[in-house]
Amino acid sequence: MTRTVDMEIVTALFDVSRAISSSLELSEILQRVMDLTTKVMRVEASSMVLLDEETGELIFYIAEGEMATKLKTFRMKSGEGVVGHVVQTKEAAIVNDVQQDERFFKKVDVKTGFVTKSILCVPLVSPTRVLGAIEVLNKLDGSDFDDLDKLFLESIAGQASIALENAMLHDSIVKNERMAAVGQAVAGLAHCIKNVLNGVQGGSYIIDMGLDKDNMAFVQKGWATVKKNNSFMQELVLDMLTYSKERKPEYEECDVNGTVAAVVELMQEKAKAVGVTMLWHPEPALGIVELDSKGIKRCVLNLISNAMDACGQKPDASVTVSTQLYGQHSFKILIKDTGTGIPPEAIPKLFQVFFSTKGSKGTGLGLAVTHKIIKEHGGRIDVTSKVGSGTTFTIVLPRKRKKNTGGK
Amino acid sequence: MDKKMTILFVDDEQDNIDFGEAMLMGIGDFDVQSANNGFTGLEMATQLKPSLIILDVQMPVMNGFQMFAELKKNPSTAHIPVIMLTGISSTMGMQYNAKDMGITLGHEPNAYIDKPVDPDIFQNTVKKILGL
Repeated sequence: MTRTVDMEIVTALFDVSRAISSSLELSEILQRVMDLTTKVMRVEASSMVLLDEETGELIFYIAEGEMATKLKTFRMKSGEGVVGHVVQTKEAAIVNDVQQDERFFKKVDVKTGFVTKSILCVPLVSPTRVLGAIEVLNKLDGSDFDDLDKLFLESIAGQASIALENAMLHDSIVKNERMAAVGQAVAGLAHCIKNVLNGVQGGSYIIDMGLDKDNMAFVQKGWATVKKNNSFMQELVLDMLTYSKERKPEYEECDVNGTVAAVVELMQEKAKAVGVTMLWHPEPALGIVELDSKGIKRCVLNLISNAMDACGQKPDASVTVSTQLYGQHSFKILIKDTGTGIPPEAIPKLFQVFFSTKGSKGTGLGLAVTHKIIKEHGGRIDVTSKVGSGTTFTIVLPRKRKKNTGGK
Repeated sequence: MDKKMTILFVDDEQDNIDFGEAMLMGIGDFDVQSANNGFTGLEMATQLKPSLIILDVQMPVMNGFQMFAELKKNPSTAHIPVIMLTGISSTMGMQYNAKDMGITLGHEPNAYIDKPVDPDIFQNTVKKILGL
């Protein structure tokens, strides 16, 4: 072996390790590794075969060369062919005349039209399991594969195994986290629905009692409870749908002060009923902006509703809603209350789905949905709070839609 | 006639208190008092020494588990029977759920009833605890 070849191998191994430690996606990393292998080993084709642990089948994960497209969906049974044998025994194999080797699996050649003459195949192994194998076929100069080729391919396989093992571990962590999140969501939802059902149950019981005693006051009281819980259920379903769906804001040109004022007006009556003063300070210079007015109405409604709940029975409590200019390209909507405030330890969890500090009144969806809508607009939402003094939620939104936040 | 028995109902949702009052009316004539969080509930329990406390779990300011633990710590309220109402499935066990919220109960409530509350179960449980 000449000095030039040595340098080429060293450079290739360096490139492989650089590709593996890069921040690319696993599929891109492996593709790069196989590209380099084919080039440096001067072979007609190469492929990476992964073992499907559930079925025991071998899957052509990445195939290089002419047969690539034909093999990408091809599966082999465990133990089939030279590759299957290598995976089973975890031993590398050099077969320089495949026609003389009984392990050779002809179906691949039949399917691809490729004529395999020689194979070098090494296993992909991690400390705990066998992951698959890499194989290279037919040297371009027609020569045989030798021990140096085997050593080189084993070095690449060692690096690729690390990348694969890491990716698999990462996938399994993500999968477990996702399962835990689903479980938490279902439990949160069940808890919320049980509270609504309790309201309906209570309302119906009071109606029954009113009918029995011929007391219309009871009937009216029970009926109001049933209706309230019915609309609560509708809100819950709407929030669930908004939260679960990836959607782009439906942008339209709108007078943001008008949008916010409509919500303030809607909530005035409720504020009066619970003894909370509601103030509204619009910034007249705000003008026309681009946003999904339905979505933003929902956010402001959620925040005002939370602000009023936070005021509870606190005497002289107020909720102040205002708009402000923020630099040249953004504006703010502020919802400030003088209510109970949020404990510092609860603040990082506020936007988590199904987190609520409101007892049975909270669905744990309102702020999660609000956060999602604001993020979909390319904006942000900040919160400052002091226990005993109150809370301010600040929505910051761009005046015009950002290109990557979609449109109608 | 004997003095009316006092029952303290602690729940942050007025609808639930109304429901509870209605169910209690079905079994007797009680003096029903209510509080909308554990903190006020605890103050009222110390003051009123009710014959029974009905306690919701999920409440702002001080939740039902915290209030229950405080009741048991205080010798003047430790003896008062408690029924806990919960939206969290009771099949998981109260101790487990309290632990999940970082609270050590030390004791079990006299009964716990899952929401949505079944009026028959509620009424029979109250009657049994009060010896009616």
